[in-house]
Formats: sequence, C-alpha cells, structure tokens
Amino acid sequence: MIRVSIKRRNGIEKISVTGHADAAAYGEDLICAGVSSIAFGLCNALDEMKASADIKIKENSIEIRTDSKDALTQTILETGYYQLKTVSDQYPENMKITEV
Amino acid sequence: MKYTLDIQFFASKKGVSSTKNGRDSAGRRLGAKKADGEFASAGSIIYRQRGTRIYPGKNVQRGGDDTLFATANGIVKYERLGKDKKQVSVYPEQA
Repeated sequence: MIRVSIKRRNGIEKISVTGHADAAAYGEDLICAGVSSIAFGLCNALDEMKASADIKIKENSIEIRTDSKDALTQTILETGYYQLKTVSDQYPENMKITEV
Repeated sequence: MKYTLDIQFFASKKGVSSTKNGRDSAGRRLGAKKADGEFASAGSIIYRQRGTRIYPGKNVQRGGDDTLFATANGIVKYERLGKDKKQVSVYPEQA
C-alpha cells in the first residue's frame, strides 16, 4: 500500500509518498509506475520552476516540504495532490491519501 | 532535469528474488597428465585424481592427494587391474 500524507496549513505544507503499491511483481507494477511518474514529475516541476520547496528522496519515500504560500509553489503542489488523488480514487486498495 | 524517474520506485522489491546459489569453485584440472606410451621422468605427475580412480602400479606411487607419480624414468602404461579397476605403471626403457 502506497501511503500519501498531505499536511495543510492555509495551503499545502507537506506531501509525503511512501510504501509499495504491491499491485504486481517488481517491473510490472503499473500503479507504482503511475505514482512514481507523478512523484518524480512533481519534484522536477518544483525544481525546474524554482519553487520554494525542500525535497527528500529515500528508498520508497519522497517527502516535499514548504513554508511558502506563494501561488507558484502552491499551484504545483495542488496539481501533484490532484494527480495522486486521481490514482488513489481509482485504486484505493493500492494507495491511500490521508490529510492531516 | 534533476530527478531521474525510477518507474518502479514505489514497487515492492520482493519481486527481485535473490538466490543463495551462484557460487562455484575453480576447476581442479584433474585427470591424466601423461598419456599411455609417453615418457615420464622420476617424480613427474602421471595422474591427478580424487580417490583411486586409477591405482598405482610398478614404479608409481600415490601422493597424499591421491595423485599418481612416477618413481623411475620410463614409459607410462595404463593397464587393467582385476575385473573392473585400472592401474598405471612406468616401465624403464630397455637400454
């Protein structure tokens, strides 16, 4: 199960994505491929567009934090959130989003 | 771009099986070192083996690792020993 945790304080402060989709064997896991693409795309978007965010990538874990409420950073983060939500709505047994 | 996509980043690595096998020791190059009819000098190795696939005959002795070696100069001869065994001997050349 991939666990997505969203922390909101007048906007998104943290998005963390951790765990395994366990939808299929390594190399054939489509859910994982979708979530990986969203997560890495989100990291590159924040980096390339010079948004204010701190990104940490470890094994099976991506954590994005920001103190900034600027429109650019929040728009990118909200886009990532809705992309992740699109997957979790469709595959609730493989991915779960919790908002804290 | 800074972050390279790993398309299976959130996949369970369990799928990647690891095996405890996959090791082997180097070949010991056993077997005949002198052919039948070949000249062997005293002390030269004739046959490397584990156990006694071939037994020592005349002018041949067995080393600690069952290696057969010549104890005199001469011609190597592989012979039958009893019903189902083999031995190797070294016959000094006729002067």
